[in-house]
Amino acid sequence: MNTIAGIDLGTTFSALARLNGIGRPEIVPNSEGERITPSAVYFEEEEAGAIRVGLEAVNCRQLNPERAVRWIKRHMGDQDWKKDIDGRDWTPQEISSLILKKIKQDGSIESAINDVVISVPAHFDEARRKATMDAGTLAGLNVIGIINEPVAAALYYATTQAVKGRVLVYDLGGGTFDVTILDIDGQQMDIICNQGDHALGGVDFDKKIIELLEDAYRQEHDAELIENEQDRAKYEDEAEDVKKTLSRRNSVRKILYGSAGSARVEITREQYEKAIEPLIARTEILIEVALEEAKSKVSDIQKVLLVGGSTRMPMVRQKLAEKFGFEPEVAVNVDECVALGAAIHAGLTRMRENPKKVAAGIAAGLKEVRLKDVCNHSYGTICAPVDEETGQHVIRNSIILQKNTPLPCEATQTFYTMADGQTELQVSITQGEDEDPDFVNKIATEVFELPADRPANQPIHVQYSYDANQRMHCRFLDEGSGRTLEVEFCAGQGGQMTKTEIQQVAEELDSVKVQ
Amino acid sequence: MIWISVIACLLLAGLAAVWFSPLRGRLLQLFPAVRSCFSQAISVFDRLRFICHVEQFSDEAQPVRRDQFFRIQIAGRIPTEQDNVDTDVQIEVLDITEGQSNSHQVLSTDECYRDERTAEFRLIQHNGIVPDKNAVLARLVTVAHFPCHILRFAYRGRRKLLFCATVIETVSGKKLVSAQKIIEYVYCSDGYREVHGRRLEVLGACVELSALVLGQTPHSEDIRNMWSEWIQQKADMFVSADEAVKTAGTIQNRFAGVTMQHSSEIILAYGKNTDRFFAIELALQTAGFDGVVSKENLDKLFQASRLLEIQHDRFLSIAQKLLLSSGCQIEDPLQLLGITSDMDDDSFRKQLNEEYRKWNARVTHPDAQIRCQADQILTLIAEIRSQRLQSSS
Repeated sequence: MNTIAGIDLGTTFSALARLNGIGRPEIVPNSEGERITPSAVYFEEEEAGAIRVGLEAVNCRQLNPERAVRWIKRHMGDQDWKKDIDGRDWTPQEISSLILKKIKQDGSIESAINDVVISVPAHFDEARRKATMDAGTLAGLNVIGIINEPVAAALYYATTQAVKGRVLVYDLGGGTFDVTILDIDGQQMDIICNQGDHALGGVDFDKKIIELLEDAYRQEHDAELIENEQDRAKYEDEAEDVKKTLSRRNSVRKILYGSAGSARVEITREQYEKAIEPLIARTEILIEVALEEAKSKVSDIQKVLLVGGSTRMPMVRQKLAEKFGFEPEVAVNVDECVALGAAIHAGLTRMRENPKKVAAGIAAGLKEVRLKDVCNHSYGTICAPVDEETGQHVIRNSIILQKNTPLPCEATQTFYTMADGQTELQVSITQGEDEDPDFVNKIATEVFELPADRPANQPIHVQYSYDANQRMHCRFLDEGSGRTLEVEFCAGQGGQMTKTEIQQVAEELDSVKVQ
Repeated sequence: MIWISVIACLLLAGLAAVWFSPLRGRLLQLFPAVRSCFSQAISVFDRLRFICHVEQFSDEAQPVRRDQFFRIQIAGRIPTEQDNVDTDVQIEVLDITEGQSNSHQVLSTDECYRDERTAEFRLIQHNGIVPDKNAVLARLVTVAHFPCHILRFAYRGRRKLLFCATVIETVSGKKLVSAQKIIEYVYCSDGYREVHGRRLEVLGACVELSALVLGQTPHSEDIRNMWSEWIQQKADMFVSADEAVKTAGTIQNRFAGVTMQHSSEIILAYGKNTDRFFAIELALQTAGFDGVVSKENLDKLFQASRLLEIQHDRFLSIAQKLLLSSGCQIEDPLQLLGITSDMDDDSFRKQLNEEYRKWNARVTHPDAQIRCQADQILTLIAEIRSQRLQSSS
């Protein structure tokens, strides 16, 4: 039987966990003996074809930042982003696949890792989820599912602690922030809502440190500290160290070496906290938005669970304690709990799909766990209702399945044809919360053929359903003729790469060796 | 004179002699034959003459909507200088109800049937090759048909239309032959002259409002060009490019003494319901034309939206889309985010949360520009919040 595993593919660090014989998840250390692996890739210049991943990549980066990639998760799903290395354009999926390949390689020493669940931020859209799954496939993994990071953390938390009540998961990682509210009763978990910010995490805090260092150097020498990419790479790493130190101490002293000479600077925690205040404000806003969506008050939250390395900052803990009136929970390892939860989810998925293939010990360990998820986004369609104020038809995105609806769910709306003799209907499936169609993502577009010679205003019933496996089914029914158009896709289907393309790239990457 | 009188007398005498002789019957028998020959000669000439025929018909093939169409046919000789000349047919229509010397243009609502600049109806169809320089179309041939509803006439009512079909050489554009036909047509809508005046007045008021929001004269050439283009775009085919430029140009002269209230009243009284939104969109585009919107401009925009009776939330979403999404630098973004100075901390927080929720959903948009803008606005909202809450604590 294959090992059941979960991977936390993080912005700054990634981790692998697998289920042991009794269904308990455990972290699999990498070949360097570390429990987490930096999500960094370095393309060796002298040794053609050699690609370093992890700590070695981070160390090499300062020498030649042009050949290194960090924080690739921030670019997942971005079709325009490419990294040119020796004339080959690497996409975010391909670079992520190198990280996953290294993780798989290191984790497969005892037993082969094939079936995995990969975690993604809760607010990731279809394109980003699909890109993450593609990365896994390119790395030679069988991605059996994806799970939202805060849900994975909560899953691990609920299975290891005795918890009951409404819990808020505060997941501030290296590059993204998620907040999830859920009800836990033993091993039964009901997700209420998710909110997230795709560009808020440790990297952004590091940037603030760099700004402070640059200001200090400018004051001393009236010159710029960072003049090239090499300098930037060096100070990005330094900033990370400073940030970590400031979580333990009140000030950090550094000697900066710039073109105008050296400068001895001191960064205090107070200075740092003032600089990051707007970033922390973003997390506070999202907590309030999530509470509004969950129709909850601050007092309804019984526990706040911290996830992600950035939650080690004292300011985060202090702000949360002020807001909720109690100290946040640090019962689980903030760097590892997502991977551990993803491994549990992989086990649950395997049991749901094919219980016979799951070892008895694992099945027994997981049989009590129940997870009820929600729609991560709103899904709708483009229509042209009459504007009440102007009396004119306006193009609008009409939401059919609301965000945070518990799964499985189903909703139907009726629309009407607009023109006499209309024989075609362009149907679009959208993802997004906006009414304005310019601000939503069209995840599928189809043409629905209608019978000819009919007057306008023919009813078309649009039914969306979403099951617990995150499989979405859209059905367009023309009431008059009984004709239907059905569109079905799974979370992570569609997107930029076709199956054939994935297969081709996977074959190409198969020969690539990561170290 | 004498000789003429003599000849006339002799001719009369000769005719009298024939009339009273037996030859009279035979001559009378020959007369119809002569007349028939003469009329045959005339008909041959008629067949050679180039003619145009116009008729109205309804398309029976369309069971749902039976539109009326004009069908144009031609027949007769098409004179060319050589054999095998490729030709087109140009159809023009003129409204001559008030006489040929006082004719009106006939406009078209359909881009396929109009002059781009004047919106006048004009149709050029390929006619084919004339094989022989003496070729004659013996029967009526349909060269064009088009729906009647695309035509716009100067005034409502019974109109007398002059159709002119001209055959032209495709390569050189040289006119070969032309024919006209007059028909009557009943036009049941408001004529463009009637609509035109009202429309220009409303569009002029929209531009005035934008000028007042900007609040400075003289306005740059670029802004005036934008206004001209806007007038032409919003006026559809009723206003030519020249008229649009002229209307935009007069704003400068009309500026003194005009108030936002006055312009808004014209828009509300004579404009369509959508014109209120067109007016505010133009004002927003004008205000953000240079990439910077001052606090004073923003105040005036809010004032204009109130005068145009546009709901606050609706105005905010239009303004955010046009100003924030286009990357304009806003001197006072608080207003644009729906924050007012009299808000207490709780309302302030709620309003910012609402805006944050909206923009946060846009940060994963496929369009990089929207993503980037959404990111900037999220940062802005967070800064505003931390500043305000810090100062109040």
